[in-house]
Amino acid sequence: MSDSLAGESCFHCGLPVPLGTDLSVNIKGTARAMCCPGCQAVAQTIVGIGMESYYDHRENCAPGTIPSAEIVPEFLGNLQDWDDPALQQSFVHTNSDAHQEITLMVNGITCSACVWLIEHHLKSQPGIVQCQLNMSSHRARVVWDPQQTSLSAIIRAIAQVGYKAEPYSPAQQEAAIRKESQQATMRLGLAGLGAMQVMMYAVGLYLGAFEGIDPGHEYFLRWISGIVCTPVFFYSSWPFYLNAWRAIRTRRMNMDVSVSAALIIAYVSSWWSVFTHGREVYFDSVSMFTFFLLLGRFFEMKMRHRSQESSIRLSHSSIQTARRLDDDDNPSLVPAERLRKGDRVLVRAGEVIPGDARILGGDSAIDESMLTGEHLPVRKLVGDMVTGGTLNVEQPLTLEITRDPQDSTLSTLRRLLDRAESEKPSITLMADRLARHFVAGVLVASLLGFAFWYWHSPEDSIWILLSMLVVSCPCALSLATPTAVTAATAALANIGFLSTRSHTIESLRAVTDVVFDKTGTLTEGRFSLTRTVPLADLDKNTVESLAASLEQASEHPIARAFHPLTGRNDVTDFSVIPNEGVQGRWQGQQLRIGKPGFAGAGLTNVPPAPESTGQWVLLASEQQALAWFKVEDQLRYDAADLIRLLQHEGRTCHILSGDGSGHAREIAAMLGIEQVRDNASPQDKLAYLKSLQAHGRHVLMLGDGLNDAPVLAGADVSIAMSDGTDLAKVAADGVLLGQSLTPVKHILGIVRQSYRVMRQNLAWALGYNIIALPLAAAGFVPPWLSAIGMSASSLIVVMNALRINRYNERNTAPQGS
Amino acid sequence: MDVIYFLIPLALILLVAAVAAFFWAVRHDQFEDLDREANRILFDEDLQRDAKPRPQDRTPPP
Repeated sequence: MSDSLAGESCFHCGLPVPLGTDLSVNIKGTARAMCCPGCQAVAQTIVGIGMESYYDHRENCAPGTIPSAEIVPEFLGNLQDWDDPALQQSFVHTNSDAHQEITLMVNGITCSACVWLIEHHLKSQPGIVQCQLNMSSHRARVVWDPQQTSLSAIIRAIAQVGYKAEPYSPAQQEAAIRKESQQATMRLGLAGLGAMQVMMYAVGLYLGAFEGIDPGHEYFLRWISGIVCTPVFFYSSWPFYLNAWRAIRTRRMNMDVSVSAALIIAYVSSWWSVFTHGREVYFDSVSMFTFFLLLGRFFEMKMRHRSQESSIRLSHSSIQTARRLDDDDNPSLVPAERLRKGDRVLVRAGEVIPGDARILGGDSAIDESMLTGEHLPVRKLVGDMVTGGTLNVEQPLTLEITRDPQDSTLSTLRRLLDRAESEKPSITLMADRLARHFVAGVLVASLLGFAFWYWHSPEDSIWILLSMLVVSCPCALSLATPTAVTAATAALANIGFLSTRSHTIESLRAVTDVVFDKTGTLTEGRFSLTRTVPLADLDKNTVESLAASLEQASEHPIARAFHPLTGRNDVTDFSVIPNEGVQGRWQGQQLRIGKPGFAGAGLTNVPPAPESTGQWVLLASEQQALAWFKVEDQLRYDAADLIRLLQHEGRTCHILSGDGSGHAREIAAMLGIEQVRDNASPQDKLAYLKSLQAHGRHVLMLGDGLNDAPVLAGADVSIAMSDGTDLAKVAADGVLLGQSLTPVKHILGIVRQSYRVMRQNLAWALGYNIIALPLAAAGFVPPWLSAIGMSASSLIVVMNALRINRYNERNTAPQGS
Repeated sequence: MDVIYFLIPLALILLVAAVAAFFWAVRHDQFEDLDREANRILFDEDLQRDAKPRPQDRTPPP
């Protein structure tokens, strides 16, 4: 919206600097602009510890992919909880030197500069014995001396340089991934070493065939080749036989069947030829073939693991704690999932409500935005019901849990999500369709060829069969899409989009409709100050600084709109009036800020708010009204741009919002979106989506809230925002890493490009096979040449896929850092 | 040329040693995070370059 006005972008996070913000940090002698006090603090810390070169080295830092430096106050406020020994039991280990050890999940790592920064900063803290950060899994292993430091101090130190770390207990799935990856590495390594050795002996044998070789030497070389090839044949190729056997049992052809056939025939006939002093041995072809195939599979596996790991990372929700009260009202910390119906819990202001419950004591406002999309807190009194997962904003509450965790609203929503996911329209991957028919065709053709030659010239039939099987090995075909998807996934990660499902890229191509959630997706999901109208003789800066100092005392979402402003230190004696506002003393006067009815109580001359729409906050002294402030949940700065582009490309945009205040319609009118549905429950949203799909539309859904999760799961393809709820991120097919929507338009561009590459690859692989197979059948291609042809065709496919990365260089402007 | 009867088995023994070393490395997580190690060396060098000039600034030239 206002990106043309904001000239500068923040040196730390890359987002545009809001107008009128004047923050900077001196980095290597140059004053660099900062967009918010959070970024400023982080940048100052980085400079303060002498690690400015972080800024020279970081990569993949498109605007917004750097985690917002404003780490939520609740997160830092509740850190001491982690030091509770009872709670630590489940994730902290004490090792032999009485040092403690933990695995932390660190959010926001984009490149090795991040790793370097965090490691060095941690190592400079007292009491840290060891610290190691894994860049690909975003996991940090920290060992510390409990005498000198504490877990909360470690997490706070990481927060100082702008990253959020949470205790993490590794999932079982991860152990499986690690094991598979280790085995694949060993298989590949053995095949590589073996292939090199056997090729060396093969060169001797080939030369011998032309120049003449002592029969004793030839016999010896063949034996040695066979011995070296044996572990490759049995150990490295084992997965092929396993897959082929499975395919045969379920009567579905896959390429492992033809691969296994070629390997077994070649290996057995080679030993036969060793013993009978036959014409040829194919040990070199066996090991080369295995090596190249494994190499392709290895890259494919790495890509699969990466997306699995990122989805594990997203589904990991931080360990939720609750303060359970015993009979004497003494609170003790317990994990929330251990709460049972009837338990009493204490929830302090700023804490998340641990389960569905009834209020026994207290009077507070609850932020239910994650559930309803409505971002203004709702007032709750004794006897009212509250939902687990919502946020207690103002006052401490005593609650009685009314449902066991597995029956809670959250779990119900999760079930709705599971159902939506199982009904998701499935997409048959292009390559799978092709490969299935292709392999069957190749096998039949090879057998026919073998039968023909066996009849004509039996001594040639074996090597021709081998050549046909090897030359037509659908390697290139099987690599055609995975390589394109891998390259596209990497290109997408570079622009700040993490794809977590393997079908995401093929699904994105067909999108006809884009459905947006409003709060937190099109808008920033938090209030910011958009207009100030001074009413008395104080100027704009003075009233804003007064408002900022007063509102510092409150964590209400509206009050937070004032937190980025610079306050003053001559305001004293704050008190927060729940659900009304804040009061304090300044120059001997009583000041109030908040709802007009509260701030202006007793005043007769309060002018009406300048506009009839929007949220207005009044600042007043005892004598007169001082200023009106308008706070709004602002549109993301690039929302308008994106919508214009999508509509220009002929895609229909929709807004689907749980908010019933009419704000959704206002925003739709502003963006030129005609399809709006507001006041929608999660069920309504899912029904809306289903009706679109029933009309044959392919829907891309963007959302962030818990209430969006079922729709995200049910959409043909979906994207969650980085600061969305965990459930939304798990339900979606990918996550936008930053605060901006701009990557969405590049996503569609990269997807178009990768689809083009996929088609080229498939066309090439098929074309190559159609030409090579008849040649092999005619006996023009010896096995060693067919192995080379197979490798070359695969190599071309891989090189072609790498072109996708060039999309980024061409289309996204270089990011200054 | 009969020396190959000695040299090739010798090479095989070396090959077995290489495979054993490789398997050991994989099992001990040496291949876990290749991206980070590739970059780490660059950063450390920079850190020293940045840090060193500061104390020298204050020492007067001889």
